[in-house]
Amino acid sequence: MKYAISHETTYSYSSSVHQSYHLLHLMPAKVPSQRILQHRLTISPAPNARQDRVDFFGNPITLLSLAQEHNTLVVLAESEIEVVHYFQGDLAASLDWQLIASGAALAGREDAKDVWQFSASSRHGPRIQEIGAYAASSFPPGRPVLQGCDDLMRRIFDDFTFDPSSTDVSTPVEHVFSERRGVCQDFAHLMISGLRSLGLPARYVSGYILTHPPEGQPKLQGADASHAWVSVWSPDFGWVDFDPTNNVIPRGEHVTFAYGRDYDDISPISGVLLGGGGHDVEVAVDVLLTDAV
Amino acid sequence: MNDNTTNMVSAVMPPGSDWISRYRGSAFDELIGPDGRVRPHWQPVVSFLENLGPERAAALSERIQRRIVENGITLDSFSDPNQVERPWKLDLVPLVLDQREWQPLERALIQRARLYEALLSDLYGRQDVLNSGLLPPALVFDDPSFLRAVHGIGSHDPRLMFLALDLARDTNGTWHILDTHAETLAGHGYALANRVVHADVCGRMFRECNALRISGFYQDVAQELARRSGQDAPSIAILGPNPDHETYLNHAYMARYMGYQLLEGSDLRVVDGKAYHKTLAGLQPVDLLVRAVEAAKADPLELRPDGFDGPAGLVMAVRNNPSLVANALGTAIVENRGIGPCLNRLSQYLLGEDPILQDTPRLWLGDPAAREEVLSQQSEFLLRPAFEATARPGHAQAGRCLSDMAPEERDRLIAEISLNGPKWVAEQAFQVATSPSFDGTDLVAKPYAVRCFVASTENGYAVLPGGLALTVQAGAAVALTADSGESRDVWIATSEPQGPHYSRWRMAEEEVQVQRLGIRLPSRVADNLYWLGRYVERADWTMRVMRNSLSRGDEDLRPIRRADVARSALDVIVNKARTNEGVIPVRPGADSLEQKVEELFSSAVNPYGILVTFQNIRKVARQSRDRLSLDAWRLLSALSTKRPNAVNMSGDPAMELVDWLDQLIAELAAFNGLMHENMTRNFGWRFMDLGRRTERALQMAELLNTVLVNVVDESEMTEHLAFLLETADCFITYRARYRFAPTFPLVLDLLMVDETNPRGISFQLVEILDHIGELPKASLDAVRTPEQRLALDLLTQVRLADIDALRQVGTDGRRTNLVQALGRLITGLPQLSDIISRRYFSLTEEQPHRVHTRLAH
Repeated sequence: MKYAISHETTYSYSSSVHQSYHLLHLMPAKVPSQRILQHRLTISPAPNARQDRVDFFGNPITLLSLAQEHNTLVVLAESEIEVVHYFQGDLAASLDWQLIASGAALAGREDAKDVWQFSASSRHGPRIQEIGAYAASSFPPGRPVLQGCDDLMRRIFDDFTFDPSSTDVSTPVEHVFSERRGVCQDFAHLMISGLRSLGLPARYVSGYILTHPPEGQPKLQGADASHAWVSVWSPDFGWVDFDPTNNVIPRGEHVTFAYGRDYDDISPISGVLLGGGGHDVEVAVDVLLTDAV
Repeated sequence: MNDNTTNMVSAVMPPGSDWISRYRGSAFDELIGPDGRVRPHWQPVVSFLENLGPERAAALSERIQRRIVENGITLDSFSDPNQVERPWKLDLVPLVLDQREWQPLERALIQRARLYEALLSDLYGRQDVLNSGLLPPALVFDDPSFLRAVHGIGSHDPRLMFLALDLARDTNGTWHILDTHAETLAGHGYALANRVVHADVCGRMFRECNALRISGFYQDVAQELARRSGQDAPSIAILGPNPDHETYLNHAYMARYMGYQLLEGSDLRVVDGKAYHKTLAGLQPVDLLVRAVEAAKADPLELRPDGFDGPAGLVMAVRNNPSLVANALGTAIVENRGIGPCLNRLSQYLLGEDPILQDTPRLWLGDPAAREEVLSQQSEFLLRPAFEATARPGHAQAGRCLSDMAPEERDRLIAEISLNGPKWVAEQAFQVATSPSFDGTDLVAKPYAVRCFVASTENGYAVLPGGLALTVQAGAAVALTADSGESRDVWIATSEPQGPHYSRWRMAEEEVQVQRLGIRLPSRVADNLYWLGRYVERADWTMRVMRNSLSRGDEDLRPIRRADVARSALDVIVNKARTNEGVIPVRPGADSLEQKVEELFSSAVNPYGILVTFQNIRKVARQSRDRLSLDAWRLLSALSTKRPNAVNMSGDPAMELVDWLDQLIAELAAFNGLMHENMTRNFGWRFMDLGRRTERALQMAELLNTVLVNVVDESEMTEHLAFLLETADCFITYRARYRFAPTFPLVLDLLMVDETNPRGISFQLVEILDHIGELPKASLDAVRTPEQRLALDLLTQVRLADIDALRQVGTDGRRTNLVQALGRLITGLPQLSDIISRRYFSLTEEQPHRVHTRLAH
């Protein structure tokens, strides 16, 4: 399945910004399940300084700074990506979750450190008593880890309400848990927090999902959005994705751009402004399926 | 070392003293050896004290304490005088260590620094210690001070420039490392301040011990920082937290000693991947930043999004030049207490050596076996967080023992440890050694811990021959926890007299170019000094008006007046706040003169009242502290402590209040005099004086506008004029010139037009124009800058004033021309202030803020 993805962010400032700095996670990471056919980044006005590098987790990032006065900034990222592989394994065939949580399944593995880092607490994915207890009912002793995750994902989908007005980027996961509402990143953080509280390594995935317009209507331009979900490690299948917002294990309609511990590590675009008064951000995302094969 | 480890050792009495005979140390004591005699390296101190005798010792001890207070050395930075500050006490008796015993300790501390440096290279590079499991990955990855954004940044220079280690001795005399500080200048400022004060008060005792001096160490540090900067005349600054931060004072002291600028994150800017410092003359490059802020909060772009203690883009700048920041970003990971149990294997792997010194016996609770051990032997262990910012001396959290807890609290902690084990350690407490302390009458043995300082120099790591000793609670010594704030200087006694003082200034001479004007003055500091000038003048003016309103005595000597004029003068100030700020409710019955004075005196919200103005003075003075001389600082801090809590207003006149106002006015005058006499005429001084002149001209214009514009009968006018003259401190001048009752034209001339009267409006405007013409952005050619044009316009208007015309009464019964003339000043002066702020300080107003996009799915 081939996708053309465009992600355009427009910042408009009420008074001119003297200087701004931006950190972009808008270039797709190299992951085994995808091929990157093309990628282009267009920035206007042109930045004074730009560093392109790979972050600690292996994601490509772009650092920009603009030193001249400006009232708007437009960042357009265009990518063509082919999803060549998605999880089709048998959830019941995965390893007993306790063998992973205890660290036994990782002993002696070369990638132990790289996996284990995702079981550590992070700002939005902390280990929390109550959330751990919530997650625990999906993980009775001896249950295959991916079955447990599938169950936890479904419960989050059932128990929580999608509500963009209830949270913002800095809402703590405890609040999401107690209010039982939020958006994709909140549900991802919640699931990660639950899994880590049980000792399981879980990472935050940021990317895009193909959306389908209601039956009989054309797809609107710019109406897609970036999306976030969860990836869980098991020794037999590697990292397997779960999308608690949609209650699906991705089957070719999710395109991965970056992974990290939580939103803070891989927010698609963030920045610091000097001056500028108020600001207004518009984001237009299009995910087009160009080849369904 | 001592067979009899269980009991106190009593001393053998030397002739002529009972201090030593009454002294009781613990099983290991610094003063008294196992033979019961004073250890030889303590003898000079003991002799000095014995010669001194109890009374003179007490006097010296008090003098030390007074110096500490005068220097403002407290644990909390100077804030509100009514707030209880954390005490900082410096003992008359130092901790004396024998050089022969110090040398092996020095080697051990240097080894520890080398070990941590090697560990940092590995963790921010290949991470072999994690891959091989020598250090548990969870220990590192659960610690927020491990900074992923700086992973992979190489470095020519050691990442660890400064390291501080807290040590305590057990009752066998063996040293243990309690804690590690690798983030900021953890206490150098306090150690320096202690040495300076102690040496100042009893230098002879120091010399008689042949104790090692510390200036050579700091000289080596300065040399190393200069070398790292790669510049011949480097611009080096300490990047410190804001003045409200608890460690500010430490850094301010260090900055003053080293001669570095103390900057805050908002003073810096990263442009094109290079760091600059925002000054009056624009952006100036910075070559090296001594980091005194938490690294995780040093760049809101790539590190913690809510951390604004450093400039956005700092990590980018460090990638371009890794020597820019010392300590490097991310060094605090070696503070993690969980590293302790892995020390032996890390030291073998990274250095090929066994560690000379061990940490306090400790278990890391990320290890399930360790958790079980601790839970099964709860009374044996004290639980502490594995990481905790403990740079502030004496402030480590004391350990908590599960068996001492209430059941619910214990259950909560046990649940927390099973969930977040990697964030906890368990330690075994030990009895610590004691050292003598002078309690005002006697020598008392107190358990102590000591902070030692290591720094990287051109010749490898070096240890400060001294340190900071603090009294700790007996039996709880797992950390440098010292609530009492009892500190001691640390002396390394030798057998040879030490050479003469080796001055920092000698080196400075070679390096510093003559730079008289100080255009590198940070915009923020210029801003603060400008407002210091304004607030000091405002306080002075308000107090003069209050005093003048209250002192209605001496009726034989001064014109009799009614309270009306005083009331309207007070109203100018009271109402300004009411109308401008909209915060002061009009209090019912606030009509009497005494009530108005009371409001100005005690209102916690009126921005023109005494309380708020003095708070403002303290705030801006604190923020410009590294620019104020010690004398100026002493005057200002003394000022803040003398406000009586309650003044009885019922007396008439309220003499107590008048006395107090007299005293404060005199003290402010002393501060102004000191600034006038001692402050170099650089930009800092110009901004401060500009503030003072602007405030004075504005206050005078407003007072004239209230008192003189309405037509009143002649006797009342005489009173008004006399009130004006007294408030402006011009009564004597007037009397000397005219020898008759005040008349309108002569008073207005003296207070408004006369350029020789230092309290008149015209004089202020002349000075303002002069200052503005000398500022860095002033125009030297015929086309003047907006602020020059405005100031000249205001001055010309006053110079051309026709007193007779100003006296004219309009149809509304008011002096229309005077209203107009004063009106231009009253609106023009704040405009001038705004223009100057925008041109010179505006850089400081660009508060950085973060922008995010949120995922909407």
